[in-house]
Amino acid sequence: MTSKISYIKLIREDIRHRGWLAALTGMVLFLGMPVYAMLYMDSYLGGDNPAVWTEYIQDVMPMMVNGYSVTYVAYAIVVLGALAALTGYAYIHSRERSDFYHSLPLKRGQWFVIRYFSGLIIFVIPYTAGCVLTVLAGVAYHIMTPEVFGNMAVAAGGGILAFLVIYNTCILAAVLTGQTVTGILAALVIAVYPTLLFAMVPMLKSIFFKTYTAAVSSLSDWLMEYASPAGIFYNAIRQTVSDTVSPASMIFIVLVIIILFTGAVLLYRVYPAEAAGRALSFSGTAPVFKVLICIPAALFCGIFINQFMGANGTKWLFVLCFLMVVLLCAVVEFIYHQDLKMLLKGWRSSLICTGAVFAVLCVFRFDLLGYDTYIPAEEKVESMSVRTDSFSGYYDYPASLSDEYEELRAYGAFTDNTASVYLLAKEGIENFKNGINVQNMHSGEVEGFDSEDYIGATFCYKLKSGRKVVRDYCVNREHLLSVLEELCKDDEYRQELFFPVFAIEEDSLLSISVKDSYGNSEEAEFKEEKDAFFEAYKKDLMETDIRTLADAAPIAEMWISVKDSYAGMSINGMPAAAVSDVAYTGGTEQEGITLGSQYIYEGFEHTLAYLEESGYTLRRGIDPEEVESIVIYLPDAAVESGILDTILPELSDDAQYMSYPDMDDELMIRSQEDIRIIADRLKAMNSGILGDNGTSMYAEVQFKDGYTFYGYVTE
Amino acid sequence: MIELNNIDKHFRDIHAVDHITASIQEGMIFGLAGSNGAGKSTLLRMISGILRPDEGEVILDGEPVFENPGAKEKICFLSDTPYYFPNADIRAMRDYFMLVYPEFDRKMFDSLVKKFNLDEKRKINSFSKGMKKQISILLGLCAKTKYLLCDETFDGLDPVVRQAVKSLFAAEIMNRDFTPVISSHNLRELEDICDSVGFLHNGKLLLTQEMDQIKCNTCKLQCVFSDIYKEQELIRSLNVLKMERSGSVLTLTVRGERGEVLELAQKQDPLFAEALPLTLEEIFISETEVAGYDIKDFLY
Repeated sequence: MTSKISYIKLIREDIRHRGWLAALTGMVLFLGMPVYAMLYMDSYLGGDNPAVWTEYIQDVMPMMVNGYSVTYVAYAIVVLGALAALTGYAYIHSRERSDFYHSLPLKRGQWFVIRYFSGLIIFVIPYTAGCVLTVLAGVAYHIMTPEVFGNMAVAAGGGILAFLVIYNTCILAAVLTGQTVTGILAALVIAVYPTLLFAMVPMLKSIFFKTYTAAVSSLSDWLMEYASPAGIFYNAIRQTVSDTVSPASMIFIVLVIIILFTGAVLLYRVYPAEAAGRALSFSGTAPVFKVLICIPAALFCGIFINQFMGANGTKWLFVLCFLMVVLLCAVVEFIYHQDLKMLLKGWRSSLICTGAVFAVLCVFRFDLLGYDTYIPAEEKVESMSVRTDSFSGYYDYPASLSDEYEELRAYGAFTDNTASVYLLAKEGIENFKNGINVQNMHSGEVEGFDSEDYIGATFCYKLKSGRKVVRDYCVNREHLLSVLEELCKDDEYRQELFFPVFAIEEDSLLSISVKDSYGNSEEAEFKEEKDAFFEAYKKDLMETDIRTLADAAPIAEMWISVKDSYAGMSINGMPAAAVSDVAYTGGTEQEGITLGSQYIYEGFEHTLAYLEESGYTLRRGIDPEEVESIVIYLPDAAVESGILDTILPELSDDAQYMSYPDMDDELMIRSQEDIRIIADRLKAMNSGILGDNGTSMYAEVQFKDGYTFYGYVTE
Repeated sequence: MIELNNIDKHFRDIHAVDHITASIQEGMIFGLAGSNGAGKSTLLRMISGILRPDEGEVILDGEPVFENPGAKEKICFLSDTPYYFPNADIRAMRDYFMLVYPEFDRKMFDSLVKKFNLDEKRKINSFSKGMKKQISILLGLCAKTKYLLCDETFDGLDPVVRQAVKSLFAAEIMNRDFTPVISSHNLRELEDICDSVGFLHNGKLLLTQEMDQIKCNTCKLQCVFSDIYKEQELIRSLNVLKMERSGSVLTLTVRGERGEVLELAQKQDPLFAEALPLTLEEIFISETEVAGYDIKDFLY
C-alpha cells in the first residue's frame, strides 16, 4: 500500500499545515531582498551622479541576496532555518503527535524525507523568488550585467547552503532531544561548540604561557572557522560573495551538510518514541553531553569573567572556573530533570567535570607539557625565522599588496641557515628559565636585569614535517643584531627582510616622494624618474649594514605610491569619491596606496647620489630661524632618568615646564635662544629596526609658516 | 492474527511490559483490561508499530509490525488522546486519512458524520472531548483497516453513542474482515462488546481467554457447613482465587465450571451451597488479587 501513498501529496499537506511559516518566510525575504535592494539602489543611484555608484552597487548586489552585507537577511536565514527544522520535527517531542504519525503506514525514514523536503521547499521557493525579484530590481536600475547575474547566482547558492547548514543542525538537535526547548538549546550548542572548544586552547595558552604568540593561520583558527556549523554558515555566505569561490571550501561545506543530514536521519530512525517530553532522546548520553558541554563552557565563562572583571593574574581564574563548573553542572541537571531536588543526581558526571576543569587549568598553569621550554630538535627544523614587533613599526607593511606576504608580515624572513637563529632561540629559553620573558622584561621584576639590552622576538620553526612552531622569547638585543647581520649576508634573506620594497613590482609603482627633516614632501616628488630612483634605493638596502638601520638616525623618509587593486574602495567599502575629494577615476587603478617608513640614511650612497643628480638637496637639520615654537613631551621614564636636570639649566626662564598627573609632562620653548639650543638636538623620530630602547622625548615643532610637524626626538 | 512473541518493554526503571506471549484471533473483538499503569497503552503502541519492543516481536498476519508499512497498513491506532492538526476541521482530517489509508471509505465517513450530528466545517479543537473521540472512532472505522486498536476510546462517550459505536463495530465484523482491539478500564463495557479478553497487571498478561470461557471458568460458591473438616476438604479440592467468610456463610471465588464446582461442594454434604456466575469486573478483581493487587491494600 505504501506505493499508493503519494510523497508529493504528503509534502504538500505538510507545507499546508505549516502555512504560517511559508507566509512568514515569504514576507521576511520579500522585505529583506527585493524591497531592501530597491530602497538601497534608489538612495545611491537616484542622486546626481549615479555613475559613481554603479560599480559599487554591482559589487554589493550578490551580498544582498545572501545576507553578507544585509545582515538582516543573514539573521532571517538563521531564524527561518531553525523554524523550518523545529516546526518540522518538533512533533517527535509530543507523544500524541508522534503516536499519530508513527502509527500511520509509513517508515520513519519516509516521514523524515517528507518533513525534510517540505521544510526545504518552505524556504527555497520564497528565497528563489526573492532572488529573482532582486535581479529584476537590478535590471530596473540598469546595473545588471551577465557578470553581476552570475555573482548573484553564486551568492544565492551560498545562501541556500547557509540555510542547509542551520536547517540540518537544528534537525539534528531536535532528534537528539525530547523537548523543543532543549532542542533549541542543543541547536545553539551544536552550532558553536567546536568554535568554543578550539577557541579555548589559544585562550588558555595566551593566559598561561609566557612564550605563546598567536600563529598565523594555525590549525585551531581553521578549526574554529570550519569545524562548527556557525563558522560554516558564515563561510558559506562570505565565500560566495568573494571574487574567487574556493571549490574545496564549497565541497567541505556540502560534506558537512551531508554529515549533519546523515547523523540526523540515522538518529531519527532509532529515535525512541518514549523520549517525547524528556530532555534528551537517548538518556544514556546525558552524562556524556554534560561533561562535553560543562568543561569548555566553564573554562570559557571563567576566563571571560576573569577578564571582564579585570582580575589580576590567574589566581582568581581557578575560583571562577570552579564556580562556573558547579553552576553549569547544576543548570544542565536542571535542564535534564526540571526539578531542583534532582540537581545532584548526576554527581558522578559533575565530579568528572570539576576534576577535568582543574586538570586542564593545572596542565596550563604549571606547564606540565613543557610548552614554554619546548624547542624542536635541531635536525627536525627545516628553516627558521626571527622577527620583532619593531619590524612592524619600522616598515610600512601594505596589507593589500598580496595575501602571500601574510607569513612574512607575521614571522619575517625564513632562513635555511638555522644554526645561529636556533642558538638565539635557546638563549631565549634559557632567559625564560631564569625568569625573563617577553611579558615581564619591562616590569622591573627581575633583579639585575637591564631591559634596555633585551628585546622580545618571535621565533618560528618550520619543521620538516610541515608543522610550524612559534614562540616569543626575550633575547639579547646585540645578539639578535649579530644574527640578523649574519643572515643578511644572504641576498635572498635580505630581500625578504625588506620585503615591502622588494615586493613592489615596477609597473605598479606610481610615484616616489621624499620627506627630509622638515617633513615636507611637496618639493620632492619623482614621477617620471621614479624607477631609477627606486632601483638606487633598493641597491642601498642590499648593501647597507643592518646596524645602521638599528642605531643610526635616518636623514629622510621615502614615500612610495603604488597601484592598489582596492583603490576604488577606500573606506568602509564605499567608493573613494564618496569619502574624499579626490576625483574618482572609475576603477582605472590610478588611485594608489602610499607606503611610508622607507628611510634614507647617510650611508645610502646610490640614493643620495641620485637625489643630488636630480637637483634635490636634502636638508639635514632644522633652521632655528624658521621655528616659531617647540613643545617637548617627556614621558615618566624620561623624567625619572633626570634628563630635565640637564636640559632645564641650559634654557632661559621663558621655557615653560608643565606637569600633568596622567599625561606626559610638557616643556614649551618659545624664545629663539632656547629654540636654537634645542633645534641642534632634534633628529627625525625613528625607532630603528629593533625599536627604541631609550627614553625618548618627543618634540612638536611649530614652524613660522604655520606648518606643524610631529616626529622628532631630542638627543 | 496478532501474535505477541515474548515482547518486553522498559521505560528507564519501569518494566512496562513483561515478556508477554499471546495471540489475538481475527474476526473477534478483543478487550484489554488492566489496572492503571498495567501497560495497556504500551502494548497497543507496540502492536501498532509506534514503539519497538526491547525484546520479542509483534507479528501481524505473519509479518513483523515495526517499521513495516506493509503490516501497518492493516492497523489503525486510535490513541486515548487523539491528535488533530491545529485548526483542522473534520474534512481536513478526513482528507489526510484518505491520503494515508487508500481504502478509506469517504462515503461512509460523510454519512456517519451526518448521523452523529457532527458539524464537518467546525474546527475540531472547538469540539468537546467526547466529540473528538467520536471523530477519532469514525476516522478509524472508515480507514477500513483489518485491525482497529482503540486505546480507551470508549471512555468519555455517552451511552447512546457508545451503543451506536458498538453496533457499528458489529456491522463491520459482519461485513468484512475486521478485528477491533479495545483497551478499557470499564469492564462492563468490555463485557458487553468483547468476544475475548486479556487481563494485564504490572506489565504481565494474567490471562487471555474468550469471554464465555472466562465466565464459565470462574464462579462464586456460597456455602454453609456444619462440619469444619468437610469445609476444609472442599477448599482443598477447589482452585480458590479468593475466600471470604461472613458468619457461617463461606464465599469462595474459584476457577472451574459452575456445575462442576457445585457438584464438588454437594459431595461434602453442606447445609447450603450455591454456585453463582461472576461479572467480568469480579473476575478481574479476583485475578489481580491473586497477582497481589488487593483492594485491602488501599484501605488498610
